[in-house]
Amino acid sequence: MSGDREIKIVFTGPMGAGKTTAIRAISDAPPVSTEVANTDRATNAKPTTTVALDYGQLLLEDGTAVSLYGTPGQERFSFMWEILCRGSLGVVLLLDGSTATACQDLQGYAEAFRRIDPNQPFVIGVGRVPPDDYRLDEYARALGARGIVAPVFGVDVRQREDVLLLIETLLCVLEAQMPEPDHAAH
Amino acid sequence: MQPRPPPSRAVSDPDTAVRPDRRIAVLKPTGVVDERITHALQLMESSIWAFHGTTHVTWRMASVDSADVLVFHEGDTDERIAQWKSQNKPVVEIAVQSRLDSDTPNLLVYPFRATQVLVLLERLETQLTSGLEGLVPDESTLALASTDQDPWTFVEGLRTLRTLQNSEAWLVGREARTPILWVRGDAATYAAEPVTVQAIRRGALNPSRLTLEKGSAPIGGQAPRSGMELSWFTGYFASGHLAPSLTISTSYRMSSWPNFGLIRPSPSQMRVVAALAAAAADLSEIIRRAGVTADEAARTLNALYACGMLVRVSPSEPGSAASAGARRRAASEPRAGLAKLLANVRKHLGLGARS
Amino acid sequence: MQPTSQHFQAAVVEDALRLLEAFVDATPGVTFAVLSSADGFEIAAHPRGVARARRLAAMSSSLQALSEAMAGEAGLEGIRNLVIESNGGTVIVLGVGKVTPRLSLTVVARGDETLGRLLWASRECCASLERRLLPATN
Repeated sequence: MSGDREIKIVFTGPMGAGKTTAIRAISDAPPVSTEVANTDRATNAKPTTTVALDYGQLLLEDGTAVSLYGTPGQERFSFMWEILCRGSLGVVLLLDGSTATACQDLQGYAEAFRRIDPNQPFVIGVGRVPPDDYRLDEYARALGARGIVAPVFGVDVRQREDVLLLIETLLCVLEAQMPEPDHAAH
Repeated sequence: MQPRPPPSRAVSDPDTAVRPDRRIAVLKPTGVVDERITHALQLMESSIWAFHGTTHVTWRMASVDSADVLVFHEGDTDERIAQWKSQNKPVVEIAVQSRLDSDTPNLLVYPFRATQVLVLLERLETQLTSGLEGLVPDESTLALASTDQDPWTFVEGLRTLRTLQNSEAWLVGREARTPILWVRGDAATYAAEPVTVQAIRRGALNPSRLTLEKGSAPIGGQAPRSGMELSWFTGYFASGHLAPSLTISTSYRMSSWPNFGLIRPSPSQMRVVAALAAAAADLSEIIRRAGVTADEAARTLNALYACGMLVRVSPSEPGSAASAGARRRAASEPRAGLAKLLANVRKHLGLGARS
Repeated sequence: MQPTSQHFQAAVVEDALRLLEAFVDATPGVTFAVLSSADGFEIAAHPRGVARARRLAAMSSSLQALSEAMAGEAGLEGIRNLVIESNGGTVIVLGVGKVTPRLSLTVVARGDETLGRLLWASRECCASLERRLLPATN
């Protein structure tokens, strides 16, 4: 792999959805974060918030590094979304399924990232969704109505295997999009 | 890639072998009968005709002497019916009311839906190719005849419920007489004991043994679950061949992804779904692009179909928007070594090789 | 309506506005100044009604945080300011003293004013802001 372009995967989503947790679950180096005091407790009770990015890494055996970026969640930092996901392998959107605005957030983020790059692989993980919850079907349908067919999974990003499920889905989507001769390469 | 045939079959893969025609005879009423019987027999004949090209084999109308299957109506005293039954040859009885005491394994109660005829024809084909006809009846044959209802009836039933969207009603699923699951009228949610849920997810529940009837909401300790889980697993384990409503030569695309957080797919299932998401495909294209067996491809397609996530692509459609996007992406970002990179990431995270 | 920091009362914000106004008017080359919270909210800006004020406030907090991370990586402490020099002018982001929660002052200057003069004037403005804001947060 030539070294002229950074290889990265981006995690995005509203505050408290688990971006920092997800990166920490798979990063080989302790993740760097840019968290500061949250002065807007009315909107979200979390004491801190990411204002620039979270940064983690996968250090592969052949020396390649895959950067893992977490974006700030709030819309006022949307300029970071574009900067960070430019040229990335794909975007993982994390949502908190227990919030009242989850479905709205989903559509808002999906639209925003589609505008940034319509062809970029996009995987959605929704947390705090119990097994009887069929709202995910509605979320998928809401996306479908906007012409977006993207994976929407119920996950718990505190579990490493759930984060891996999201990453694996991203990899499968990328592999499925490759022209067929590449498949034969390995 | 040949699927492994089940032990009782001596025949080669039905998907690639030249299919024989099957002959079916319908005994017409000789005297005056209930008008509904006449309508039912007409419906049966027209359904057979309508499914030409859809079923695994072609069914042709024939005389009783040359037929593989005999269709008769209840109350018909034609002696050939008894002859056929004693020889254990496949028969189909058309009735206008349900009878619990019927000894006919294939009973169609009028009014019946065309899909029931389709399901029946496919089941008859299975019975004929597995060589059950002509066997001396013994316990195992009789057992097969009486319980070998199609699992597709259950799966299709769930699909129909989903379209009805009646969230107020509940249906109870009983195995023998014991209620084991409760399905809401819109199939969005179901409830069952944890041990039943485990059985469903393992494929140990046989939906052909279930009866589904109107009932009341569950009370007690059954955990509510997403209806998609029930549809996916019953659809997946129903058969290693495509569902009766799907055909080999049709291209399909996905309308949405299943919730893999709940289903926890195998790598093969993930690849099938990802391949379909990238571009519309028919069965053989799925097998090739996803690098999976015919069995796995068919089962995964069936599961998607059961969940209502599979959409037929008409021949005039150039393909889904997703495939156009994939082509654009591939064209604009030729990325040397991407396949190798992804393989290395897989290895690093312990995800297993792609194929 | 964008939520403002909860830590500052209206009177204090008014004073900050007046300080910014005085600073912008008195300092040659400066076209815009905004006081923002560490998490990117605009607290006071002059001139008012600048369309990009909110974005600049958010970007300042991102830059501030990244600068601190980078300085830390380089083994340095106590960031004083960040300077972006371009052909048309300069942007300076300064941390406002020992105020809690942390605040940033972002100054946009066009033209050829020397950096030294801009920095000195900006630091003076910061000091005035600190004096005015500190009692409010105790």
